[in-house]
Amino acid sequence: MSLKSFLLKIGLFFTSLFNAAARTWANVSPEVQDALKQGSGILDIINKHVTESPDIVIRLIQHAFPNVDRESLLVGLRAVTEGLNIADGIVDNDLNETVNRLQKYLSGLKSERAQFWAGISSLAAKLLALAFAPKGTKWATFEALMEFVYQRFIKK
Amino acid sequence: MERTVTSTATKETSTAEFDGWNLTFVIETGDGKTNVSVNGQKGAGYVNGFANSDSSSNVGFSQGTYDAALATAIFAEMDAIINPVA
Repeated sequence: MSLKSFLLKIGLFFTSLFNAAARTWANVSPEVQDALKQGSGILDIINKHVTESPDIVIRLIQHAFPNVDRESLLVGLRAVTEGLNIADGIVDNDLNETVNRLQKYLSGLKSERAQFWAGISSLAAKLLALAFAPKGTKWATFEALMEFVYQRFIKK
Repeated sequence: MERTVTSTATKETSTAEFDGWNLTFVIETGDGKTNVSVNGQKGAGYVNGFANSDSSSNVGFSQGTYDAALATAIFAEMDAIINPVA
């Protein structure tokens, strides 16, 4: 097989995966679509502003997602820190400290353990989407669609 | 997480148990790089993961289940394999 046909086959494979995800996306409810966009988008904002104060990050998140209030954001991000096992020592209901913990954790990963940064960011986005999605939404939905959502709606 | 090495050849295969999940790690090393793949099962649920020294990593679940504590533990274990403390 020539290099050209090999690359073509790889391209077709990923196009096929993307098309399959697009079909899945069209079949999930608007509430689940919103949860996926919020999960991916909020983690993207945190990742892109790891050196800003948590207050600024929270404002950026609320500007991008006006329907996510502080209480919902705290519930969601607490689920993320607990899921990633980095919640120790965070005072309950302290949104700023929760955001700060995520900023430090993700920036540390990116600088010291770069190969794990994207994978753990993706897991964090899925955990946040799960927290925002209607109860009973299957985890497989987040596995199937998170990369698609990031590539189509969030990545700039 | 504690892994038990069951065979060593050009690849190292090891197993571990975590909260009822039975996990198999395959570690390949060469040219100064390390690749790790992980597969596991608990009941009807499946988990798989991978990491390599110079690019990316992921942990995913199938068959409708997920376990955040397991995912985090697998990431930590792959990190310990790829970036061992001197």
